[in-house]
Amino acid sequence: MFGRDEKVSALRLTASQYLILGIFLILAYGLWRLQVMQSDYYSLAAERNHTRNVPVLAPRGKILDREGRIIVDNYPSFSALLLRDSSRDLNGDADLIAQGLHLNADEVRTRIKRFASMPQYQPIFLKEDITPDELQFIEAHRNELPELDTIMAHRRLYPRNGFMAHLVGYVGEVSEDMLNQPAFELYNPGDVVGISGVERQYNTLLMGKNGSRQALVDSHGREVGRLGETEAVPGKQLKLTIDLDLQIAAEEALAGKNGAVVAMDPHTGEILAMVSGPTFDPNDFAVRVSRDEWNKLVNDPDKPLLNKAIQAQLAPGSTFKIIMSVAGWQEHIAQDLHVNCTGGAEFYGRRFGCWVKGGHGAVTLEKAIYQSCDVFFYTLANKLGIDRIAKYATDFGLGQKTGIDLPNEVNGVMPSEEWKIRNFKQKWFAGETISVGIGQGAVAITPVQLLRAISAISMGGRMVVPHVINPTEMPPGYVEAGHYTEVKSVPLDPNGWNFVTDAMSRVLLPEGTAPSAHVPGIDIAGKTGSAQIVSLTTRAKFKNSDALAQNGWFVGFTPRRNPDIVVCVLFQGGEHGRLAARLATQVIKAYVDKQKRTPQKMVEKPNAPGTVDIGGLWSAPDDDGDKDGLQAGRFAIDLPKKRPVLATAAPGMN
Amino acid sequence: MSRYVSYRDFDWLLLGFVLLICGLGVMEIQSATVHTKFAGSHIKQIYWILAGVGMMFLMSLVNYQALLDQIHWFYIASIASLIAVLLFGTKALGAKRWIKMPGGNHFQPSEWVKLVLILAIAKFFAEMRQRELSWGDFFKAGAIVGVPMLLVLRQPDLGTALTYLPIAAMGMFLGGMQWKQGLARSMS
Repeated sequence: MFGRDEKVSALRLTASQYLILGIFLILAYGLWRLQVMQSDYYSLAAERNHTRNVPVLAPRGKILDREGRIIVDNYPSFSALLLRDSSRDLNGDADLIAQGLHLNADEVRTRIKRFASMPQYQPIFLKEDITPDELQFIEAHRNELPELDTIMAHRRLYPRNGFMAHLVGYVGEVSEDMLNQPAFELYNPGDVVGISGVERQYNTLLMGKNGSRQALVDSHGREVGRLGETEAVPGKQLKLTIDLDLQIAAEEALAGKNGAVVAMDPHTGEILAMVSGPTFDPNDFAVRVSRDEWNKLVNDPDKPLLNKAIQAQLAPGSTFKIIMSVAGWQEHIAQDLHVNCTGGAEFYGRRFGCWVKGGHGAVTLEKAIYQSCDVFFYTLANKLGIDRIAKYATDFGLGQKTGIDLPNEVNGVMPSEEWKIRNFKQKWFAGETISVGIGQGAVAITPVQLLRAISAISMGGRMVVPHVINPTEMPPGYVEAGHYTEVKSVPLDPNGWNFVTDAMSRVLLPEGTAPSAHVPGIDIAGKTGSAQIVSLTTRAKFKNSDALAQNGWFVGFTPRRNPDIVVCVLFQGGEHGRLAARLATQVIKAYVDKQKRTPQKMVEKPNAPGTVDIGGLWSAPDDDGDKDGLQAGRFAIDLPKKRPVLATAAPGMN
Repeated sequence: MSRYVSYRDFDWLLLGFVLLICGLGVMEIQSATVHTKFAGSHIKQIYWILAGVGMMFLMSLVNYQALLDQIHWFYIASIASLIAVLLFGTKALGAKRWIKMPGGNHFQPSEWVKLVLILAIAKFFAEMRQRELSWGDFFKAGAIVGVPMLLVLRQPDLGTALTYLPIAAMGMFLGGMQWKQGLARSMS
């Protein structure tokens, strides 16, 4: 024993005790903070750490035509993976792998090197959307190259050669920009969404809902178990109003040309066909589009990415004369207007020429329509004045969006005095009205606007909203489609629009502007137009370059009264409306032919489709070998389908 | 000098706190290893704690005065083990800290050196007669801790080496360190 009291000061002993107590209190506080105060935060973080959500991708809905024929489908696409947690010498195998997958061996080695620092469980994506023979190579080399694996995902399969590309659109990974928009706020980076066309407009419907698999992972991220799985909800299939047979006819008509073709049912506003040219192949975007390819598409002067049916804003040319005629009739000016056309006329000190240099002679409204006399409409425009013209044109929807269910429709321009002051801070000059009278000047409209306006006139003022889906076939609760059945009415004098459409039916007759587009046996009413891009004198300066050639227009419908179909054609660089008229009549003819070939009334059999029941009596040996008893029976006989086989699916969908 | 130690003199409160901390450790191990390949480690930990408590009671039978009498031998042995680790130790994670024992276990001398240092420092100050710590004693105490500390720093194992400092500090503080010396120590 030693004298503790004389050796260690009591003060110092107490001080050390308090020091140790203090340290323990700090540690205890730390424990309490982690376990109690922030336990929710840390338990959540830990939860995330040890369960991982692996998405189960939902296949997108198919897109069908109005008869249920496939336009857009999905296909299983395989990607080649290189697993790195095997004990193989990856660099040594690189040559064989590269050869089988048609890659560059050095590139494969570079990627192995680049991934060297990444966790081992993370595989390298060697190649996306591999071909069947590359898949075959991987399957055949399971033993030699166990590090190769494949993963399957559904990809979009679009029709071949850009068929219907603008209407259908395409899909892609959701971009940063899109994620910031409210419509896309529920999506995650990496989600595949519609980028344009129907794919974008009805994305929520087509997309379905991804499922997820809760995997248990260890702290290295390796899957060690499975907790549960919520199944993916596949996207809904979407039935368009497009008639594939008509679409094919329209695609064939516009093939290789610049412009647009749109066909619509004027009763309902259902779009039956819509083509824009030149086109692009959305299958190229389904995997990955190279920057060069993309730039080529964006910078192409023919603008292949633009859906010209709803996005081209151009002068309507003489097709505008139909609007002028109806406006003139409603204002009681056109019906009694008599003009002597001498090949041109002077207004406000400037000479305005007629397209027929020799003049049309004595012209009334009827002749002015089927011969497209400019001088008559100059005179009419001068009498109406810009604001009355603008009122009717606006009533018929020109210079405004039609409200079609496709993204990025443009407004166009319908000029008026007010428009000029608002946009140019200038007074309207009366001389400008004269050009507007023949659809030149500042008037700029889209094909679908013109289609809707002429459709309304052909239906006595009934304005429909063009649309590409059938609102009644949409899933319940899908409110966006509601307004496509709304009909607006423009009050028109029946004598007026009947007179105008009668005159339009002479356009394709020998005395009209497009006799070469005449189809025997089909009563087509229409109007041609050719619109200048620049004035004729400017064009002469550029040696009549093709890039400045006039745009040909045609808008027409059949039959003349209560029409079934109305078609609008824009043929850029088509020079004259009669060429556009020929494209339009191809589509109209395809429609009429189909109506004729398709029996309107089919006797549907009560049993299985394609079979018919036949009753019969016959004699056959009975039990005792005699043939004295008659037997009766019913047979179901397969019948060949009488209905002519039209298109079964869009090109490339088999 | 020896005296009979009764279990009534035992610091049961201290044991209670030690077991409380051990209990928290078991819980943490359980929650950290559940669903992993280390699942069940907390059971092992309980075995180790029980073994440790048993060892503790055994050790409590030994009169620490007897240990103090032999402390210079322990101290020499600990320095020798630290030199041995520098010469024959197994290298892992860039440091030589362990000596491979027959049977596959690894022995880390720097750990038991802590206990030896506590006893050595206690003995050193107990034998000091005056109330105030002289500069000479200050440096001697510093050397007792400093030599093994430098050897551990050579391994290198800064973490363990730093745990030796509070041992020296507490010994010097209770042994009558002057404020100037405290300042010098904290600067060294």
